Amino acid sequence: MLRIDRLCAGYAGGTVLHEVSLDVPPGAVQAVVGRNGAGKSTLVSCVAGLVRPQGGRIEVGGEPVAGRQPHRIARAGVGLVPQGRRIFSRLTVAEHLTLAAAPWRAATPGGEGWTVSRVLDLLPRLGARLRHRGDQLSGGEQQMLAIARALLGQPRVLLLDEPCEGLAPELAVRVRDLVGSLARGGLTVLLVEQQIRHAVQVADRVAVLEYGRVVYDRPAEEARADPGALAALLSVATVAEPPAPRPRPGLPAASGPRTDRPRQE
Amino acid sequence: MSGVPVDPYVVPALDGVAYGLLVFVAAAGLVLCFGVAGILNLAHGTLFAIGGYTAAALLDGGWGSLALALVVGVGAATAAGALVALLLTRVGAAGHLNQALLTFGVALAGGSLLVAAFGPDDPPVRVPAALDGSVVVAGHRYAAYRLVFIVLAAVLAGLLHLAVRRTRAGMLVRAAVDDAEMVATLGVSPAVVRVGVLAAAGALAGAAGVLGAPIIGPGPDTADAVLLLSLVVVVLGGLGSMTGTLLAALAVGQIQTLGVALAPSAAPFLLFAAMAVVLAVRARGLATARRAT
Repeated sequence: MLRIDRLCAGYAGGTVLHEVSLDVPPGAVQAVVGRNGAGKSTLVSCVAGLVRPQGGRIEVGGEPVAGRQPHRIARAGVGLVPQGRRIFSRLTVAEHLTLAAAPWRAATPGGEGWTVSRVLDLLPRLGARLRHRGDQLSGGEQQMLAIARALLGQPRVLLLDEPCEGLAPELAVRVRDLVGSLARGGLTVLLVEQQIRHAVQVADRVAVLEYGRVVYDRPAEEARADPGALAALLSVATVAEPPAPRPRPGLPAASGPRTDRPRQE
Repeated sequence: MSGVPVDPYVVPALDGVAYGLLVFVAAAGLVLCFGVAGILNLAHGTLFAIGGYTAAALLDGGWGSLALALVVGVGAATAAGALVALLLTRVGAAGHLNQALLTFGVALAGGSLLVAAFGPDDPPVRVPAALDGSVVVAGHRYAAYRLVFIVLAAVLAGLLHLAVRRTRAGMLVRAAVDDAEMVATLGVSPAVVRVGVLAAAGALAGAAGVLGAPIIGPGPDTADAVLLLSLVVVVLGGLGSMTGTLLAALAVGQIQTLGVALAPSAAPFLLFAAMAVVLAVRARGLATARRAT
């Protein structure tokens, strides 16, 4: 569904991404992890059209989108949940949903189209905050709203740039599980995450970026089976799952690590 | 009604409201241009002048001619606004200096074309005969047309508020003020937003030009005067803030009318002194941009 082939990109003449290639099948979650400055957000921005590639190809469902303007890429079926959420501070939750709703676009093949009511069923907490402005929401609510906003554009590919950033651990788990449930519904996900354990738990495949190059790209099961290898690669303490948090009302129920999906080789 | 006194302050104060609302309708377009599209449109006064000249050319004292002038004036100013947006397509990302230079050139060319078409003198403007007189307001005589204009401009301001607050286009405008890049990732073309905003700004300026022609008459200096007043209002009110724009416009109206009545010798400096004070004390304008629109 999402194919990135020898992608090069950067800023002001400098190159950040060096021939990055990833192939994400429909309904799969591709996690991309790496240290600060590795090029993770540049990769997401490039796919979303916010950064113009210097070379290489990006295809969504076989359709080349590299170098297109962001609105054309969105119409091609790419939804973005950006780093920092970038919620419209002056708009209420209801206005966000109204503005983002694009029922005229084709739904995910084989899937049901996203409507406001369906999004609110998935994220009931937003339903209680419809009249609140974006800047009046908590970090977790803003993240849910950013996801809802992206879903209402009927994406085939969802880009998530550090969705767990700044969230309390239990909320981060909820977000992670939400990503998993979306993928089970047929959505293809490119998940950039610095909290490696969340990425590994939800992903079908994990890639590591280092200095703009893919230095590791393997099925997530391998990373889950041998968390030390990935941790050593990233020089971090652990990728193991912490104790499960208590459920919190208003957010999707947490589930365990994804074991119900076939490996995406 | 010859026995009715004309109060030296009440009438200028009412005039100030009419003047202020007129400037608000004109300046609201400039706020939209800058706040949403990030475009400093120095041709905005010319769009107002298009409306004014249209009114002068078409108004014959009848209601039908007023309706026709509104349709033609608003249509022409809307088209001119869209044309400016298209001309700006290539320099839009090149910074405000390039935008200012291009739109200043458009203003000069537009002004010359209007003078060539309508002559170098200020043309007379005829208001509908039914409004070409005075009425008594709280014991004071006041021009009927200006009173009606206050009502019309207040209705326009209310409609603009509703459009920005309640319509999807208005939501788009407010979202674009916040984060235009994110609006694009929702599938909305920035070019369409830019053309739409500049066309809407042109429509507002055109409507203000037609309806306000009996107050700020068309002439070779009209475009510059309206642009200057609009810029003052935008600075006073804060970029991206419709509420601030309304407050600032009403203040400008009072300074320009009541200020002249109260302190004639200081009047020429009052407006810019107020702007300087606001810039020095509260550079973001009377209304904070974060709470704007």
